[in-house]
Amino acid sequence: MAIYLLKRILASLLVVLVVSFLIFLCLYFTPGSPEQAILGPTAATPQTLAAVRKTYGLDDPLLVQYWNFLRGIPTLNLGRSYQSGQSVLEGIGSGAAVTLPLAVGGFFVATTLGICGGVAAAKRRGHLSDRLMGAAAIVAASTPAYATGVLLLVVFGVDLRWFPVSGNGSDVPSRISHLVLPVITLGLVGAATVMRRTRITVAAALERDDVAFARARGLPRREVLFRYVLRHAAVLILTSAGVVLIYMVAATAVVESVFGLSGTGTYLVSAINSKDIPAVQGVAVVITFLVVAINLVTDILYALIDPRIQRGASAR
Amino acid sequence: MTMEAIPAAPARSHHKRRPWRPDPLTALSAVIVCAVLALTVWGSALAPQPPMRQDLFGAALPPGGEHLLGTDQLGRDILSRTLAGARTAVLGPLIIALVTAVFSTCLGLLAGYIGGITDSVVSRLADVVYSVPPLLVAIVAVGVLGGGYTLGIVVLSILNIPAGLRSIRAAVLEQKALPYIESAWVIGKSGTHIMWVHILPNIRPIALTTFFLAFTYAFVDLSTLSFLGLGVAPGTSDWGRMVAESRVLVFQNPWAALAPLLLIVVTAVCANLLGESLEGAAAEKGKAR
Repeated sequence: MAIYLLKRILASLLVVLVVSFLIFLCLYFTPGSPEQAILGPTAATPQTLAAVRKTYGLDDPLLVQYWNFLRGIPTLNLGRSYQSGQSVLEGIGSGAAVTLPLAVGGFFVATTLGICGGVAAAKRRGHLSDRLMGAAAIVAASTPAYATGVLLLVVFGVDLRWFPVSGNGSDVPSRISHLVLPVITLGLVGAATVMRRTRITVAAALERDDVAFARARGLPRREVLFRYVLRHAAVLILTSAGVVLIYMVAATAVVESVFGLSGTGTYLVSAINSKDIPAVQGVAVVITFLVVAINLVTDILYALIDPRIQRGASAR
Repeated sequence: MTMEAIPAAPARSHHKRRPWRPDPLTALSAVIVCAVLALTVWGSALAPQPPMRQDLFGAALPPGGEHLLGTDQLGRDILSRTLAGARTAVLGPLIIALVTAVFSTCLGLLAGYIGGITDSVVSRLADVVYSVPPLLVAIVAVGVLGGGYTLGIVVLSILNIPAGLRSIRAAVLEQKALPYIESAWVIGKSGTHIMWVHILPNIRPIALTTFFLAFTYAFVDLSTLSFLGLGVAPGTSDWGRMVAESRVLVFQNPWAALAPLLLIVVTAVCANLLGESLEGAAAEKGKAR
């Protein structure tokens, strides 16, 4: 186990390194000059341009610039935003105050709704309720997140006026009410994915001999479900939870922009639009790190649930 | 969000094949998808008014009168813009789906049939690409490089290949183990011949499923790019873009956002249903053997 763990962690670090270099390369060759982005539309003399290039180290060779960027990471120094002069980490941090509750809430909705719905549908396979849930899941899974968001916004924000339409909110209760619709939007798409996978795997597990035998022995339904059925289904349910989590990293940006929330996703989009390279770079590296970490944690959890995976080459 | 490998089995003898008889829901989805395809070709011609004509005195009108679905903040007719907006919303995903299906079939065939180093290289590359969320990469790449709609199509095509490649490769591996491939090899057929003439027809259902699934994902992702203002150019009549631009109008004329939005939902759901019924048909065939 220890060797497996070490190997996976090293491989993950390597991926972060490679991807961060690719991001850096991509941004280095971006059209448009960074010093113009820093100074804004004001007319610049050659002297100011040179001064700016010197301050931000723009004259250094590519690899030196990359090394300077890497050196900052252990001390959480991701550079300064060209746009605001604020440190990128602070920008990400202030956005996270909105994005984190949104993502956690969305993930909670997705997994509880998805797993409960999937188990219920699998147990009543072929019945009307199963088909209705299946239909709802198809609609929720194929609808883009922004479409779900605008739809909820029109129905619950504009027509019924139950929830606010836009913004972050000021105090705690209003912040929460501003997050309700975004959380549901984010959760619904994920729930559909989790539910469909859970339904298939639980239905397959229900047909296993040991489950039939456990039932025949007269074990209580609850025990059969938790000790036998869900155990067989756990690895696949976990995969879908991991997939949903990674999906959410991208979807939060979309949902934030629908509901006018100023989170990390909005920070990224506005940084992109204003060619604020350090900010884009910082957010992109943090996101890469998150995606790799999620993959790593799900892989480790697999290995804990199903010890065969450590030995086998491919987990899925 | 992800495509899964599905088992396949060789098609039964060609002359005995029954005609495809879809269930009502699949038939309805097929009809709707065809209607949307027709809109991408003739949508602008069907529009009752020029979709770009502005009328600042008739801005943000609710549905009724001359404008069946009202107007947006620049006084442009929503119905006309929605009809014309099908083109960019559907054409891009079609291209992406086609590229994805062709490349994942070719690469999947090569990796699965040849095996060895070819397989390792292709599969590891696919694993790396598969682990990144396509939408996120597209947002960053298109946003930073500024390629708009075209670059969006390129990026999403590349990022959608691995998922399809994996299921095609799995299907090829399954075929490769069957006796008819060995027989073909024994009578001296070349590898290329076996791949294209013997294996390809038997994995066709999976290639088709790949196409539909890729279309569904690309449709969602590309329109999201347009929604975020990174896809089509500002002012274009495009479903995703219209939803974004009309979001501020939800109180005056909610139909400005709802009309393109409902078409997006209906198209996505129908394409998904079609893809799934094909996938189900392929799986059913496998079970029947």
